[in-house]
Amino acid sequence: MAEESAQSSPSAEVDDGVPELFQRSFPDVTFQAGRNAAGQAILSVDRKDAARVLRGCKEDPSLGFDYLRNLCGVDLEAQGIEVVYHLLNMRTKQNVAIKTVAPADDCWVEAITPFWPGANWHERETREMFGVEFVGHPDPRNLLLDEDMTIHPLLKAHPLADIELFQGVDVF
Amino acid sequence: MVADFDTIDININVGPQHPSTHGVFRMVLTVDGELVRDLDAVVGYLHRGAEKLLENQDYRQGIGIQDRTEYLAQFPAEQSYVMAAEKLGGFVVPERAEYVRVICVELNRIASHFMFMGAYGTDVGVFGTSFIYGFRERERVYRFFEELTGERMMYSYFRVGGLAWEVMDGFEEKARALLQELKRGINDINGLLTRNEIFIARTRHVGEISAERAIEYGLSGPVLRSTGVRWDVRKDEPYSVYDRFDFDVPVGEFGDCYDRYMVRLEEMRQAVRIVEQALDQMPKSGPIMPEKMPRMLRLPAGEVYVPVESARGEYGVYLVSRGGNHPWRCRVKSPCFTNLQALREMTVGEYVADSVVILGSIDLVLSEVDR
Repeated sequence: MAEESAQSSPSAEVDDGVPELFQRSFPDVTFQAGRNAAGQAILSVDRKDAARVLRGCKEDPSLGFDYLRNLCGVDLEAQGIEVVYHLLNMRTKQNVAIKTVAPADDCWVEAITPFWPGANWHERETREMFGVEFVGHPDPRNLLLDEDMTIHPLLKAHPLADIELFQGVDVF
Repeated sequence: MVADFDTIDININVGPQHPSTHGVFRMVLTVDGELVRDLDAVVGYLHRGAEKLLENQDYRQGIGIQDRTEYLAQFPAEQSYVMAAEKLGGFVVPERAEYVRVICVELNRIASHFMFMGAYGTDVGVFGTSFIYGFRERERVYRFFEELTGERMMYSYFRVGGLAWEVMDGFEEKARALLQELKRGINDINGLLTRNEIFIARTRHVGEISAERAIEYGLSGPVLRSTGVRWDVRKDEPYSVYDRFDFDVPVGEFGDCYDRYMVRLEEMRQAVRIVEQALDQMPKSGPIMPEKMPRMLRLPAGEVYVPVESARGEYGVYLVSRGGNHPWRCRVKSPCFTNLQALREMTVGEYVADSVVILGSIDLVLSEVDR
């Protein structure tokens, strides 16, 4: 931990009304709200509601979170894979991160590519890197990795190989 | 255009080793005569697992990897990474360091755009001339950076909290002299391309995309602004000291290749304006690192997504920390990765020869796409 003198006070409580806005728009969905270090809202939703909420973000003008900044996975090890969607509302300049968890033994989430073309490559990359199946994705091929590669390199279960091993031990 | 005789579609592989693909990138074009019917973009030839490496390196080593993910606009890449770590750790960057960062980032933007102008001229058939002009100017900036950081390309100059070391003697005078040369260089490129009849014929109304589709695809940077969407992270979500500068955000009208070129050209002029203001406002002395920075950086648990406006668009770093001296997860959202998704939509229906022009207009850097 850094010295106190070099640090500012931790980001103060922000009230941008984003969690309340989502709760009003989706009264039947349970949101777990949080804030990141920049004070932006994080909303965790159940996997069965995620695609519906994201469709609402894109198509409901009262929400207006129609710009997908980023989509990625995070390995939570025993809990499974967390899929994070970073969204932006360009008019109000508000950010929100929608999160959903796919359990490790039943690793899938619904694809948003059918209605959100910008998610296409991001979902393909998350699929190959973490092994999350994006159900309903129109083109679930490997993107960055070899076509026939079946391991998922960004999982913590796949640590980096020793550099000697990687280059071939008998080089020297 | 429908032929009144039977035609068959032919698949053509462009790349991965092809001078027009700006690196190792493959397009599988399905063509019907001269028209592109379908396009499959194949990326990943330059995938080095940067995100995995970032997870296994400590926060200072990660800065070096950021240079290598985006080797034409290294400073914005470094900046987003160190800003993410600073947000998590709650570090306050000294003002002087922020100004030096802005100067570096904007000069880097100019250098990157010069590289685009040069290569793009070659793409559309201004063979060689614009390339030499663009590279001459880019080299001036790189020489300045070399003096500042000791490296031509892989700078590793920013640190979490500030800068690695103090700027060289005569930084301000050298920067001002450089700006004068760059202004001439911008005018040279402008004179060479902007009103060039062949250039306009090759780029006007080629590869158009609408503002609605651009937002659906999540495009960013000059490709987004060329469609008329006035969104610039520097202006709309000001970070660092960008809120203290007076600069314009140029936008296009048609979202075609010519607009993308014009947006970049104007961005270079605006970058010159920002550097001039930054040199005026910069504190002449003062610290460049906070006092009492720990030698080994350990950040508290938490997460943050920090976007910056890189030369190619929104370069974001999503940093997840669980404590300790290296990130749990470091996602690099690279602008070209997202922008390249729209290539198919821009290209289908255009001529085969234009596919190279459209690809070039995205200004792609494959190391940043593949990471």
